[in-house]
Amino acid sequence: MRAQLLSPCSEVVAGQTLNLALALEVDAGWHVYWRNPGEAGGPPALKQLGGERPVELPLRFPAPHTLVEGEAVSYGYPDSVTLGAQVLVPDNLVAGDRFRLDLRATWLVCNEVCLAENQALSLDLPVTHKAPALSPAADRVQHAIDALPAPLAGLQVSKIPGDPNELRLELRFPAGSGDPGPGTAYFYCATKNLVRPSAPQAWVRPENPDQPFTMSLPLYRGASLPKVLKGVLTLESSVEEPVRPRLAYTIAAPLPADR
Amino acid sequence: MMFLDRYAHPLSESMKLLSTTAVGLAAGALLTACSSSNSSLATTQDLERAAREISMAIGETPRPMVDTGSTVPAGMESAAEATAQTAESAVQALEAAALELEQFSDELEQELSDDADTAVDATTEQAEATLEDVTPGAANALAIRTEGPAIVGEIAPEFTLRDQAGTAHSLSDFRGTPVVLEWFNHGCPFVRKHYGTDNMQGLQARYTEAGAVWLSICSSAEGKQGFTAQDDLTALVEQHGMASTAVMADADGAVGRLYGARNTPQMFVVDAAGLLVYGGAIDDNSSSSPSTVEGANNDVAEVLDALLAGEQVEPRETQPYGCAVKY
Repeated sequence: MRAQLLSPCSEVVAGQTLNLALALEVDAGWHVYWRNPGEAGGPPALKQLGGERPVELPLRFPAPHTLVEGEAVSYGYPDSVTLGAQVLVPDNLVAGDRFRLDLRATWLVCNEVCLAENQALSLDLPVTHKAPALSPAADRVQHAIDALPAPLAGLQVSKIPGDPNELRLELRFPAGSGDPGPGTAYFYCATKNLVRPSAPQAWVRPENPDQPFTMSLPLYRGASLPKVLKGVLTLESSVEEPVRPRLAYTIAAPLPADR
Repeated sequence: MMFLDRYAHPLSESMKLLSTTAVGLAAGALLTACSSSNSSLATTQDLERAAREISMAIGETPRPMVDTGSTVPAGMESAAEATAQTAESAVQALEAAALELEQFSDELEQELSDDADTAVDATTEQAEATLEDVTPGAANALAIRTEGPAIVGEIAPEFTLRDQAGTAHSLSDFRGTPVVLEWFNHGCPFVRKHYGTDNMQGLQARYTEAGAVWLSICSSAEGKQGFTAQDDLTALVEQHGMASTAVMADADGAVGRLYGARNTPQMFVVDAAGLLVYGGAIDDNSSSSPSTVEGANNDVAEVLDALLAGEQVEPRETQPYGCAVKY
């Protein structure tokens, strides 16, 4: 497989936050992993070089999928995937300078074999004082960023007290948005070793629309709950025609410490 | 500046919110292998269940656990004595349970219908019969358990595999000494992290010298990463400088599945009495980068140090990390 660094701009201005895309292009049958890889594998990473020591750049991930690998259920992508990353163009640069960026991407890619690979990536763009020109990759970068899950304004998630081996949630969608209709839901927990990927999650649609949805997340035995539950909620409609896309929302729900 | 507005968002909240938080896993609940029957038993079903528990606790096919001949490893005799003490308390527990059964049997004979009486008699006879089986040999403290799944806190399931020299070993051959089970696949980056830094070989040498048995098991299927044919195991041991007691191929994955091994590396520790006291990760840093071996907290070493020092070890479970086992 190979990695590609995509910049939406062919020029930059000093002080600009540059939204980059990291395309991880795998051969058929291979997969890379989400930030929490679940029961096997490991997440990709991107480091900026050139300073005293490499600095890890946070990556933004599209909604993952569950992958079954032997006895393990992992979270990742069954195909090529494009991640998001951001860098700040130093504000002491002036028109005529070059903005040089040296990065190293690392990843684990698996099928019947797992390989840890890495690749050097770089950008070298002229600094301008006017609005920088778009690069040929601008649309592709924008498309990748648009596909990243985001919070759904007004979605309320709260914990229902109960069995210590599962986390029961109550979800209320904002009026008129967010709910794709009857179907299935899955919560991809960003915290490793908390929610068991290999156990089914119950998703119950209320009979009365005034009532909340409920969701049950089976936990690893002995797992302690974080202060905030973080992850991605995906919703897939069971209605086949017309085909609806899978919806994905980031969740950050405070958890009361009563467990 | 319209373009800048389009591409120059501040760092989004969603990105910050998704930062991964490491979670420590507390120890799992302790399940005892020889649980005593509940004194509030009142029904025929309860009696039958109690009898089943006794049958499970002492096993269907009791057999001597420890061959006390010339092949006993150093330190094994004292461990065998400890096992015998455990055996005595187990027998006492069984006798107490049988007494309870007889008492309940008496009570129920007065109260229950003829059908129920028959069931109670059968259950009592079964309990007495199994007691006779176990009483003569106190060394049968923990039965050989032949079925999975492996559960931390319970008897480690029995298996037999051949070592690199072709000699077959069963887990129960090593009763009386702690046993480490290590799942490996030398191609897996997470396994390479521990072998490339000599961390795993160092642990193998340290703990086999200290009296533990270390069995390295590869469950990779033929054609998949890490698969090693029986005839190639010796070369593999030499190539990687493995210092395990035995290196074993489990190409059909039967032993891996028996133990629910899902990752490489994945570790289990069985105590001298045959109880599975640890299952999970080699350490607490799930990165595949070799630089993360140093400074990681090694869970397996902690458990082994305690066992070899003769301390009581509370069964403990962590979540393993690594490649999926290539079944």
